[in-house]
Amino acid sequence: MEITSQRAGDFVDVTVIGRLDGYWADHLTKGLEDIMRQGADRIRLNLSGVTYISSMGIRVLVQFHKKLHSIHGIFLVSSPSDPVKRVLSMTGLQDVLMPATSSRAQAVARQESIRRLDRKNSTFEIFEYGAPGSTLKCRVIGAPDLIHGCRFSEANCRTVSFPDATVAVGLGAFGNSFSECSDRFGEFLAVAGAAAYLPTDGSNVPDFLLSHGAFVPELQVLYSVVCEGPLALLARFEAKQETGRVGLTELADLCLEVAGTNQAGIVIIAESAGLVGAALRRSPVGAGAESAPFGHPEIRKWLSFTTEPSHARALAVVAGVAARSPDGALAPLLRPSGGDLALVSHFHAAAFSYRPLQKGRAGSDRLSK
Amino acid sequence: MLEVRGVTKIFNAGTPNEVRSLQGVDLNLDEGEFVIIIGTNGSGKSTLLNAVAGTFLVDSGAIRLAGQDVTRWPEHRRARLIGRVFQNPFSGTAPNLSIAENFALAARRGLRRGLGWALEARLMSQVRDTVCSLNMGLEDRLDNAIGSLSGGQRQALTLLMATWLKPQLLLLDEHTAALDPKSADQVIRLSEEIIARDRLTTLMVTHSMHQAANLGDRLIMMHCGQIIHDFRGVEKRRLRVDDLLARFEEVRRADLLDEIAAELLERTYV
Repeated sequence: MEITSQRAGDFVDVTVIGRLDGYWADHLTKGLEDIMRQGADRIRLNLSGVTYISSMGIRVLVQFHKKLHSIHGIFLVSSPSDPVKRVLSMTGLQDVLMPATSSRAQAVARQESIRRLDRKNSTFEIFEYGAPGSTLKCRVIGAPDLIHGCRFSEANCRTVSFPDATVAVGLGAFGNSFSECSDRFGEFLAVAGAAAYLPTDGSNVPDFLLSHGAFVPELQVLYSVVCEGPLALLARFEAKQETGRVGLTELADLCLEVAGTNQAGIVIIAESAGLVGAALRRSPVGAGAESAPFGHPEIRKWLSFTTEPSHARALAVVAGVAARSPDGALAPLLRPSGGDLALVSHFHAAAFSYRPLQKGRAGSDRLSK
Repeated sequence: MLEVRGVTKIFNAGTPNEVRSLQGVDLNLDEGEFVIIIGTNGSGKSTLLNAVAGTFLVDSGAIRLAGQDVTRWPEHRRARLIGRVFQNPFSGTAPNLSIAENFALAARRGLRRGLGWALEARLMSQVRDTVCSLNMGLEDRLDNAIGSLSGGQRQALTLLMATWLKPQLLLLDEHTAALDPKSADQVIRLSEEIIARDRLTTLMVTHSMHQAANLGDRLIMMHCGQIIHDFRGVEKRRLRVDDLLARFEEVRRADLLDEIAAELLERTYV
């Protein structure tokens, strides 16, 4: 089977030549997934060169129709060969995959006044979001400095809950008390009533809590930066074809620019081109040696560092704060971002299996889901 | 059953080629325990097995087996207590002797070999029955030289011979690594069967994460001549191939964390 694709306005035209049977169905699935990852949410599948379609092939068509429908995209079949046409009409899928109403009409519906920005590696669409004009209240909890020498103790631990309108990152653990958590404190992030954390008890398996009904995620926290309030802006970005990726600092810089501020709480949901960062391997509690955790070579026992980008192609949720200058209340947690842009920031990331994101303006609950 | 205490071994000590293969290994095996050993290349897995088998004498530390201090025993003396299967199907058997003759040798391992008839009828009938249970059709070829068999057949026979006398300790050193996937699978199933049936105390080195996750009731991970993880009971049963790969990745990352990265992290981690 041969699969070729070509951009045509808002659509991507995909031409398939060969048999669309059980053996080749996976191949088409992979091809279409790759096209979606490149940002396409409107796909037109030209099946004029398909000589045979089995139920496995139909399954792929239905799957992608559902997938794109769920993110308000479009999936169509165009100029099917006679055998394909016959199967689609007999299965009743013709109306779904080849609707009579022109797709152009739907395409036009998307046009709305959007503020667009063009940057070196990316393009952005800016939307008002949630509570336009509102600001976040950000503060630092705890004494991050105690990480030097791993000197955290019960006195430095507090129970903090993270309701919907909160963006927070820090060191903490899921559990009911300090003593229960003392050997598992690790990095966490909390966004929109969901909290994720990486335990340091040796299990190395991330865990998460989601708010539901009256339940609000609650953590034992050693230190954290907590931003409370509704988010005010939504910036959608797409990496330009040439590079295929955008750096975190470039994104943070743009967020500060469009918000017209020197300091911002930021949540990013994006396909990862690779995460680079560090995570604790041991809980930094109860006086370790003075050189812990950063002294070499003990650091190997204390910290894991991605010496090369990890979690490529995953869906990353990144949360934290960025600022133009390292002063103010957040100073204890702000560190240089690297790169040409003089930014300071503090971000944590969680990686999830990939799923496509809706384009245009999306409701806040959709994003938090 | 096996007690390894503070064992160290340095090869080529004092030369530029010095290798610290074992750096204070402590390991206790209960009777009937089936322990899998995994680790990166050069982590000391096979060296540990060789230290226990007596291929060389250790520099320091002690090894006790079945209640006896065997630290200073030579290899052939320990062979009375230990059955071994090697990675290379050509080790562990005498290629020019027949299947039957190899079994006759195995049956007298650690015993005095006098001038009696080696291939006596009772032994041969036992050998035929056992070999028959392999379902490899080898029972009709007991007179063939063992060197004429395929790698998988030889490893299966080696395993039968190594466990013929129900050794106090069975050492399996990547014994399926040189086999094709189908033969490897057969030999692994046979190993499992024999170990379970005779409740053999076993140390098995493997590079196969699939084997490591699915076999044994305890798993040890070695790195740089030390045991860095020891999973047993429910912890072992919960382990999946992905978990093991993640542990290897962790080790690899730790090794790459140099002083420059350490400095960077000190400045930027919090």
